Amino acid sequence: MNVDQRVIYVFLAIVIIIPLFAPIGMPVSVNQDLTQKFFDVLEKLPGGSIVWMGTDYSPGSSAELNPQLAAVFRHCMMKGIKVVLFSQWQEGAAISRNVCVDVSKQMGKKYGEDWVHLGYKPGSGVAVRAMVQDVWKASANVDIDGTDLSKLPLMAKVKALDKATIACVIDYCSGSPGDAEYRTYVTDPLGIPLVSGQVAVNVPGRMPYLRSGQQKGMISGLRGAAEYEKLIKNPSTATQLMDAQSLGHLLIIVFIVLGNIGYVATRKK
Amino acid sequence: MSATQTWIAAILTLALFTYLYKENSVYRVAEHIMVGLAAAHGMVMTWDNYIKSTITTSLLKDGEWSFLIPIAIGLLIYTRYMPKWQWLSRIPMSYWVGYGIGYTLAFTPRQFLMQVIDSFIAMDSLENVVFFICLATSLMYFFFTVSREYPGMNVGATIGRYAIMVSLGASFGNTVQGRISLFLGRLQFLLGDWLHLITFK
Repeated sequence: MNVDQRVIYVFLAIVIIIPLFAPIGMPVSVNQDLTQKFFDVLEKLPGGSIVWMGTDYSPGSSAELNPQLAAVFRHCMMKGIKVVLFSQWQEGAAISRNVCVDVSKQMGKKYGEDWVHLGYKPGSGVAVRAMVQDVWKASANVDIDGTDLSKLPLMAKVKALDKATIACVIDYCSGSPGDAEYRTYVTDPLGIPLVSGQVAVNVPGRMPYLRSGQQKGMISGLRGAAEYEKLIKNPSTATQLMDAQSLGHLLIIVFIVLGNIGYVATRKK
Repeated sequence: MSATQTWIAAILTLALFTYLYKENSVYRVAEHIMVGLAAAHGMVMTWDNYIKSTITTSLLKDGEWSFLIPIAIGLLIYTRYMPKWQWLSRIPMSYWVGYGIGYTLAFTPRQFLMQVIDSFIAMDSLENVVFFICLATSLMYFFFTVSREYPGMNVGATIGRYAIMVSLGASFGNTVQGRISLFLGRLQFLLGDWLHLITFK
């Protein structure tokens, strides 16, 4: 049984586009083993704590990871948690800066005091390891815009990526380099909690790390972002897109069932 | 994004989507633009975010002249373009390989050993029992030094194969979720930022 794949694309496009214009409002339940645990880690941190955010992704993954970053960054700002961002991916720095600037403006937060973006630094694992020893030196003493770190008050408290300074490492990851570099050089050896925001395709591969406690929580794709928006009581883009996502999944399931029926019927002949 | 930038991004997005119909020259042009821009963006970001700031701050301002040694070693890689001196390019390469292997060996085993430690679990719940069976039988599937004809090996390896297939099914499901999310991201841009047909929060 052969079906032109373009027919499937057309069906999928229709099913995904319609709910964007006419939302159904399907409920979003929170995954207790992934998103809730991620949320709990940040929720337990006292105001004034400093978290490290790795934004290791490119535009290809921003549809899944930008809403996650926006929701978690908003959560941090709501709780008065300070954020230091750093990217092992060239494009990740610019993308994440735009997301954080928007949320920061909406919440009246101040760059340099409430959050700092160190930008992209080459070297992946070596760069991360260098941050453990001396954040200033590893950043060549400048942030993403070339501003001297001595002019950013938050950075006076952040001399090293160590347990005494950083309460939690969060990594938004779409591949390599990503959370593995933090697990290898920072969180496992130093005992700093690691939570991550993952593109959906990465999630099964990260489950063993949750089980072993090497990761304390995880946000899975756009769906996880919608769950996080629900937890911080700020439904936003991801929540708005969930109807389309769910109906898209439903159609794929229907196609898989039809495909298998067709396969069995053809084989019997 | 300005209106011009939005239009350029929208046209390139649609150009890339034409591949869904069939391979064509419009798609290839958009693809080549993307590859070229990504390479240029990478070079500019590396220069602007690291090399320039290292020269102006670490070298000129802080006077850390020891940085010149690794910079000089690194620049030797360009001797590849000079046949007489290209043997010098092996020096930075050998440094990278040696340093990389040593670095990896020093840090990487820990995270895998933690996985091994975690696999020693009490059989006090159904989840743990299922975990143990899947772990043991998946390992049996990849155990090639003992023949499948030995008692239990074939049964174990078959169960292991099913465990792996369940894992692959989970990966496929997540991949589908991810791909639909990517498409939604583009729709958000096209229908929201470009055409203003839908307002996204």
